[in-house]
Amino acid sequence: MKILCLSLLRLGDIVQHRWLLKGLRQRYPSAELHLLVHDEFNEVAGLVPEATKVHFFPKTEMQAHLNDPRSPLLFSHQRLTDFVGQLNAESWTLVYNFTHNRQSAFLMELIKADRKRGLRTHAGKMAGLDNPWIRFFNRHFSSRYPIHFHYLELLAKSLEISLPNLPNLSFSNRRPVVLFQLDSADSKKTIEKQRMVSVLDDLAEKLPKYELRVLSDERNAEENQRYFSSRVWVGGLRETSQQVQVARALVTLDTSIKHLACHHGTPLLEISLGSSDPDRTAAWLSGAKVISGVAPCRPCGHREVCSQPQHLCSQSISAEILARAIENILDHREDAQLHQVLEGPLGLQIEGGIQSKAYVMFKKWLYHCRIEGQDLVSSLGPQFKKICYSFSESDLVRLASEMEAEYHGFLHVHLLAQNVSLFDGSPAAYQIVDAAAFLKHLPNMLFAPWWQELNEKIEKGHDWAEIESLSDGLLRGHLAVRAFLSKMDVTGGNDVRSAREKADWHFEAARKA
Amino acid sequence: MFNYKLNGNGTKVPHFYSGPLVDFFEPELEGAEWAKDVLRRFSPQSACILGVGGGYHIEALVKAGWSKPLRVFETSQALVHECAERCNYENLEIVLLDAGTTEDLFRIPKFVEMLQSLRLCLPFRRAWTHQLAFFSELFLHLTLRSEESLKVHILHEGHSLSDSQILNPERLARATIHDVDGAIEFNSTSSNLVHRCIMEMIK
Repeated sequence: MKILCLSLLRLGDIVQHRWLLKGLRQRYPSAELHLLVHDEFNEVAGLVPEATKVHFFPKTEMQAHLNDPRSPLLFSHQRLTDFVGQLNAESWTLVYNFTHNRQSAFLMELIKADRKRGLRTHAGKMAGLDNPWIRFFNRHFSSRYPIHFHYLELLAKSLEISLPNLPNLSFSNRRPVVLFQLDSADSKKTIEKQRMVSVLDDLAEKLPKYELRVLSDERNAEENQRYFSSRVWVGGLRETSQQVQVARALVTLDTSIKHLACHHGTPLLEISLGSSDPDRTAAWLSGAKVISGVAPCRPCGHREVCSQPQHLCSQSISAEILARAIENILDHREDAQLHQVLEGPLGLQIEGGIQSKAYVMFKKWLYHCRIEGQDLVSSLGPQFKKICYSFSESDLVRLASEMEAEYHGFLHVHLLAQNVSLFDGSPAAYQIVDAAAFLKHLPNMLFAPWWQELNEKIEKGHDWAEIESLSDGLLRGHLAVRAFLSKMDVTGGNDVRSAREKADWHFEAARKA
Repeated sequence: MFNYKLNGNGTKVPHFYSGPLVDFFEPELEGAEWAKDVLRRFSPQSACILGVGGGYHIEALVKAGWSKPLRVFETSQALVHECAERCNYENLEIVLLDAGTTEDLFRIPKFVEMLQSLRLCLPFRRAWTHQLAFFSELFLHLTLRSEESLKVHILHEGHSLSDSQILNPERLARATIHDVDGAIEFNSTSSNLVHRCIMEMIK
């Protein structure tokens, strides 16, 4: 049996797709598993032991020709035809598309196989959206709104692959080295290196038994050496993987190195900034931590540049908090004061239990209530008597009893999901996801410093334009919440969407003005 | 008139009248740099090279690791002979073009056949000095940027032209895959899918 898996995205995605390959390997222990990746990632071949063979899609080569008048006009056409011919010379039993974009969908149709899973075209038209999960993935994953499913979880459900159990941290055979991955190809996701210099100096004093190393590739070596001098370690992907495998901890931005560390169980702290969204792409590792930048524009769009005059989300993480979070990782200690440090991954593991994301999310929300000393019961009023949520029945009962015990009737968990087999793509299920999205963002919105003033203006009936000018363009989300609250109906999925659309519209109008 | 001169290192440098067909002082280095650039950018199953020069660039390409079939076009018998002596490479075919004009080439079955399976055309422009106009036109043919060659190619593949505006010589010389979109009707669903797949790459 020969299985081909298309993984035609970036390095971080390929590294994450290894979990899907592991799932396939468990299901088909004797099958030949082939992986197709872009030719620019040729280093990957040695890092995916689950794959019998790695094929390289000639993207770089074709792109070099596409707009080059020295190349035959139809070179890329012929090159791709040849490449597809080579692939089809193998007899594929099954082809999976891990990529979920239009290009890979066309390629899926070109590849001959007995069975195909994932997005593909049929006679040039999109097909393959044959289960509710893949429809949800297709519709919502690229949106900037919270979806409450981890990328891997959603992809695995979409492709009907069973993921292996979530891996745990591994503390054995580790050296007293703390690694820092502070480079990212996306500037929105980076933290100022000058600030990190003081964090590292501070840590070096406090943790003399640990060696601190800043990972770097050749391209960024000079810049890193300018900031971190002798702490910089330069190497390729394979050598970096070896470093990560034996390090005591990794502190990283949202990078492929983070995903690499999950395969080694390396204790890690992710600094989540810009468009990085821990909901979707946190480290797939139980016990990994995320310190998340807080800003009303977070997470921003993947293809956008930072819209703020200053990098707000990065500035929201102080050097002191970051240093403490790193110390906690090393001591394997929880710190109740570090409310920015979240558990990751936060995927809504459908089978539920106390590890489930919904549970963690509720707890997190309640945690915010405690540490900020806010009385949400009185501030929100009766509209929150009814909150719809998705859970298996047993989870709901347990969660409800805990909440009732702690908040005396404040949260009455409504069993809306009773007739919904968890997520089945039905309108009710979408409503549940929307309600969850609202709940998750509520604390940050309510505790933002400008919320009170904004709230008063809204209460007094100021028009939208004035409110926008007051909020200095930072309205996204706030307006959604306000509009949402004004409806007083958290079960109305469509209302949520219309409120968001309204907020988006006002936000765009404010920006243009 | 062709002749050879020795440079300061004692290397034979081909000349057309008084103009060298390769770098006079460092022909090997020039060839090596050209080969390095080619290998960095391309890795097709086969390629043709326009212009033999002194054969240094072909020798450098093979030395640098090129292992696929190579076809070299040249108009000068003397240069072909010199190149054949220099380059001992089993996958090398040196084609002497004795046609008067490039249009005449289309009457040579081997040339037409070659156009149909064309993969990559690598120009070595300094070696075109003795036949600049001929090689320039030939290059357009070999990159499917002439009316004749594009027609030969797409007809052989079974495609058809749905917008003949693309055949405008000036437009064709600068054409990219964007211009092909809508101008060529592909013969099969799979060809069309290949094209759509490529268009996604340049979005």
